[in-house]
Amino acid sequence: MMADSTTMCCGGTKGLLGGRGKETMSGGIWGENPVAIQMLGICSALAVTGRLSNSLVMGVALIFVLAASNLAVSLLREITPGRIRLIVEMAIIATMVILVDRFLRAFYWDMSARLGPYVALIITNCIVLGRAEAFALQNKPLLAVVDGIGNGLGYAAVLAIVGLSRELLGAGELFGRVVLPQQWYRPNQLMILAPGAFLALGFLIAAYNFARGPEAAGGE
Amino acid sequence: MKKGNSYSLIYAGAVGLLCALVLTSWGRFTDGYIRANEEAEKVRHIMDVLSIEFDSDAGAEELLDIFQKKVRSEELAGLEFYSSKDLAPEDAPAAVQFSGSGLWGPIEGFLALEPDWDTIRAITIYRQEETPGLGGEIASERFQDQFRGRSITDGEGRPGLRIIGDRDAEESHEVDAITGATMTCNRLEEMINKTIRRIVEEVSNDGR
Repeated sequence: MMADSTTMCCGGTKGLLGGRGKETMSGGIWGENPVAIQMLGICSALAVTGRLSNSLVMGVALIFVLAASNLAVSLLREITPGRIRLIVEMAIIATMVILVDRFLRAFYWDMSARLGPYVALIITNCIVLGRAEAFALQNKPLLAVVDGIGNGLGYAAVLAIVGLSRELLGAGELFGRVVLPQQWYRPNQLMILAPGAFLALGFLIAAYNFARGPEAAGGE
Repeated sequence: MKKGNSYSLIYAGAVGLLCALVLTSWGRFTDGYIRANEEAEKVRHIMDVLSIEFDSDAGAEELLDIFQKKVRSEELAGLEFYSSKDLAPEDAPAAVQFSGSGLWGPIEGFLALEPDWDTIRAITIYRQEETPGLGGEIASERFQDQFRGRSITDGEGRPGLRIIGDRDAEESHEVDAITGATMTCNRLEEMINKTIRRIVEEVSNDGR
């Protein structure tokens, strides 16, 4: 899925994105992954990942909010007075989050109930404001959208992996269907509970840093 | 270009107005669906406390339909009572709403009574915003299950259910509180009792 979107965004659109599309997209997903490398958005990554389906919906919600708020902030970047830019960014982000929240409550009520307050809490997700400040304010709209999608995918990927391992190990299920029969796998409920989230995310980040090599991870 | 204070003010106003416009139109559009979902949630809980069977995968409109077909509602002493249409009114358990403010937000739920108007059949809470893990446990089955079979009056017929925090619940009108959720439990007790008092004083005494 990730490989697809990387090639898609860059094929022949060099002029439009100034040749930075691929680098921007892969930075969000891998090199500067917002959760695994920058340690942002940890709260929701821990809270909603008890089940894979919750993780995926949360990931999609964040991708939308990030892309939309990056787009709006970037479009307005030339005319927004520097002194009030944070307030303007917050207003934009809050608007996008409420759109998503109400969408879920209107059309996916059960999912909305399972995610509880965490969709609304995307407003305070550091990734969103972070990308608006660090990227969208300095870059053209299309590239800002790519950055938003890239970082959103990076976040969604981490949530999906954590959600998958927690649901699989904690309940022996995926998407609510039994995949590890109880006869030979005894579900470890710890993985569904809060400590399981810390464990899964910790191991994932360790694996991430290992895969990137000691230098990239800041080691000697 | 140097941008002055008035520019900033007007700009902020314009962005605010735009956001408000977007939100209002989206709110208008989604409002009907969200209301139907909330209504369905309520109806689901009513049928749950009365143990009326229904398809748990049913959508909001279907649920409201099933509810219309299976549940009768009548007003007594200003309270709305729900019961199953399959049973004669005098043999049917009845559910009634209770509500009030919890520690962080409104709490709403249903209390179902057996036909004797004294024994609790079940309670359910369908809306609460209490502290997750503490007050939020009022929504858990473990907490709600203890209400089953409890009485809404003490030994001498005085109305009142007690949620006991400082010792174990012993009497038939007592249930155990949740440790660390005293405020929530106190408020819950108060709102349930407000409803119970009206039932005991105005409904069961009339012999219905």
